Amino acid sequence: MHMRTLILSFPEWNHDVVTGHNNKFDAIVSELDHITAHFEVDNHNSFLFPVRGPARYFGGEDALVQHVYTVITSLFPDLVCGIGVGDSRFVARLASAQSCHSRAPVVVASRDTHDLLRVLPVQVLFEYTDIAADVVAVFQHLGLHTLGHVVDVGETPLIDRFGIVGQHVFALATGQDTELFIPSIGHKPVVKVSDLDNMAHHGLSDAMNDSSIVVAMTQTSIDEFVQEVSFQGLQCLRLRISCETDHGEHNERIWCDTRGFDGKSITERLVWQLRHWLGDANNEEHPTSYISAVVFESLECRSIASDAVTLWDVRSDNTERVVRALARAVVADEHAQITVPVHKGGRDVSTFGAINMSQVDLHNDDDRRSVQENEWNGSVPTPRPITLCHPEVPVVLRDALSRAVVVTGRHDLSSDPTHVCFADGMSWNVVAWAGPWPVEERWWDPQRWRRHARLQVVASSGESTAAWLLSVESRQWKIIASYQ
Amino acid sequence: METRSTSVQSVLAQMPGTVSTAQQLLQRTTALHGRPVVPSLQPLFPRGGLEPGVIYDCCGQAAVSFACAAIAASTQDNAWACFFNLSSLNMQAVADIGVALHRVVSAQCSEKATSSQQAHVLASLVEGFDFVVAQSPRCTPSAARAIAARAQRHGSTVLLLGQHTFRTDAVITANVSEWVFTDRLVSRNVRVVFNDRQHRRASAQVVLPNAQGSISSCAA
Repeated sequence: MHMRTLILSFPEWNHDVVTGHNNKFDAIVSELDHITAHFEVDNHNSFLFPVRGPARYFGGEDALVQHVYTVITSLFPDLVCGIGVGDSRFVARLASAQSCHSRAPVVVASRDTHDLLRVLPVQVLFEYTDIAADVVAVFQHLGLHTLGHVVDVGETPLIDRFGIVGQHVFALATGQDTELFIPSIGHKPVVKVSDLDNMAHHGLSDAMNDSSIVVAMTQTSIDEFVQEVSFQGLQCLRLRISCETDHGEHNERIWCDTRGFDGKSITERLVWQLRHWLGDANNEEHPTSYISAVVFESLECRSIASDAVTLWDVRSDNTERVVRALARAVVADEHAQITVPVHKGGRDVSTFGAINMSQVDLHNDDDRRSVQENEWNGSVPTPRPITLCHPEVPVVLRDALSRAVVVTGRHDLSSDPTHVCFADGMSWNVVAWAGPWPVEERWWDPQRWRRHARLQVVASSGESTAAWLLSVESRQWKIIASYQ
Repeated sequence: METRSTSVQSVLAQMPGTVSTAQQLLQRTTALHGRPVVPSLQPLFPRGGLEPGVIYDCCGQAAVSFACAAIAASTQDNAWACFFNLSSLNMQAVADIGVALHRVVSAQCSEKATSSQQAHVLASLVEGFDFVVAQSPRCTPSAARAIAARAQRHGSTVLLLGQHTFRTDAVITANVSEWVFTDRLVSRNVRVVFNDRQHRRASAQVVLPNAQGSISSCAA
């Protein structure tokens, strides 16, 4: 099925642009409201709508595209945006991406779609759709380097080999739309109506045109909606939020989030929607009465768990659930560090480093399985300290005569340590110690050459006992790790 | 296929308590027996293991090592664990304890993150991970209640270290009873005490870490 679609994308927009009090988002929403009766907001930074209706009104597809381009560039001349039109969302998205580079609208005519898609490399499936990288890698291994090669294989063999994904790929590669603006198939939609009429009758009607009040009042319904979707083992990807006033005025938006909606993200979308509708009292669409109902309707869902749980006590692999949870965590705090441990080797206390989750495929753990670390001359013996000190804590190691303990050239201690003294004046009694274990690193490189020694210490202060790993370098002792 | 699955679910939903899907049955049996833990820790837990959807408060000098030891067997059984705000962990030692590092993710909130953001991050993590080990999560008591409810709904086990505002289901205290030191640090004897809201109490004496860095029962 073909549905000519226009995609207006803003590649430089991030979550902050939309959540902050930035008028650009509202202004564009307002302009699109005048162009089409129905549009979707996809992942904060793309707007989609079917061109058929508006094109008739504006006198053809080219005129519509030119109008949208003129409106956006006159509003924000410096804003990087892409306008693409194609037979499907996929083609329109490709056109929009091209438009961002060329700084001019790109319209892919129906007659050219087939030829354009045939020559595109299969990587575009990964870059512009939700087809997984491993599926694309399989295509490449099979020698299918372009979408034309994939189409030539035929739909039935693709379905035989890849199942539903194969069918999806074939549809994309032949320019068919796999998502409808108003889906009527798939999961039964979850509809949750937040009836604000009752609250209005309790003297709150004046406040019901304040977006924050409306959002607060609908919070329970949002939670129930999320719970209901989740109860079915699903995650909502496309959501319609409709608001209605007591006078029958109506405001409706379709929101998309490929990571899936949770309570917070739905609340966010409602805030954005109401901010535009209720924000400007001079707006001709500004409601004349209080909002009496807010309706949340799931238009598209997917299963939360990627794999079905097998019977009895065999656990399913819930890696996909983890990936989605981490994606939501990053949305909540975009500066959060999500890392996975990887073996890096070296002479440090820990031979494991951390790399960002975005650089690894959690589904493939072959590279991340634990490596047995052999002991070497100078390595920290097992058991190893559980906690590393960041930053390292400078201390002074003293003997019974209060002299500073140092490591001699023969890698011995100058005297037996009896106290670990901290900068704040606290002193711990040394109960037992072992070492020092000298470590010489990169002796072949005068710039990066490093020599230090490590010492294991068990110390007590009052009733507390602690075990630390100390390091000495240039006669300065530091606690580098703790056996907590 | 999906339509058929949905219709089966809707039929099952009309018969609560009589018919269960394999997934529901698995959740129930897991709740009955607890998640797998190493044999030396089994006597501690009323159901022989950490329970899904339960919040544990781990305290004492050996709390971090204990939390790692408690999740070790499950991660080897393909459960996913997340260390939240525990960036100082020595993963080498965690691996020695027995945690399967390829099933571990570390999440560290930015220093500027508000308590609300921390709560949202933690809430997201409990939705996806089987275990979340969190160090001093900053969130309001109401957010903590919401996270606990979410953990219960998704069957995630949360182990808390340090200060927090959660109302926990059980407190596990792991205190050092003895450091064993010969020519170097050899092992540490730890006394672990379990207390839950139903006033069930259990204790165990374990060697954590032992000479190999893992956990074992204390020789009588």
